[in-house]
Amino acid sequence: MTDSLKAMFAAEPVVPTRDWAFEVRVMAAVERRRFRRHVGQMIVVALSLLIAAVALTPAVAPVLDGLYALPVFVVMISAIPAVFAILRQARFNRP
Amino acid sequence: MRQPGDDTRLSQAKQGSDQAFAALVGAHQQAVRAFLRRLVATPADADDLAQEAFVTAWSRLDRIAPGVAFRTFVCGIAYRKALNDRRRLKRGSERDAAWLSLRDDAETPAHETRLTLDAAMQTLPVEQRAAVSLCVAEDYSHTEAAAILGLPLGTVKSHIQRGRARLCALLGVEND
Repeated sequence: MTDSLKAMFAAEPVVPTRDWAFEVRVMAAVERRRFRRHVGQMIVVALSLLIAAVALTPAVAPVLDGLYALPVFVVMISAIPAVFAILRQARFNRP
Repeated sequence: MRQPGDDTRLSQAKQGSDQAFAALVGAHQQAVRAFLRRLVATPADADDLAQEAFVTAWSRLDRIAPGVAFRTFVCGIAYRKALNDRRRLKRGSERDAAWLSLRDDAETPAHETRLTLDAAMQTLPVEQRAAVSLCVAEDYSHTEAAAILGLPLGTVKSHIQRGRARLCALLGVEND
């Protein structure tokens, strides 16, 4: 049985099968969204650390007197998640 | 509406692979954009909504239920975005008027039949238009269309039946 309405819809393709411009546009938008999300997360973490540091300074002052390299160690540790993220993306982007 | 390799790409995309997500976009962009072009006023608006739908899908990949096809998931998001866009357009009556005055200039259909079909589609209520777009213009099953539109199966069937009847009457073709 022929379907006249279906035939009319099929008469002219509306959108090309591959549209590289659109795909690139979507991926760029995804990248922007990811960047915004990461910046938001980093701001939250930075503010939390700042507030915690200010609040805890009187309490940890005796510890910092003994372990004066502790702040540097904490900063180094905080880079580990970024290294994980870079390695994971590199694994998927491998040809 | 599952394409070969979709499940693998989806699981890789969920783990953070941009390449896998780009492949999913490439495989499904045609269906999503075609669906939206039949729902909204201009092709440019449809493409903007399709882009937003894909970006939203990317941010919610972990929410895709097992067994749901990626295309169904994105089309569902796209439909809700189209409805929101419609509400936004309705709220701005001045912008509506401006858009309507521009519309005739912006659209340059290549085929006389297409123009008639587009014009006839625009007269349908949005739910009927969406149901007809999915199940008549494309080859989605009624179940998939119900999942995309978030409507009961019976309602979708009724929308298709009414939409078909109206389109056939407007276009002067026999309702098979």
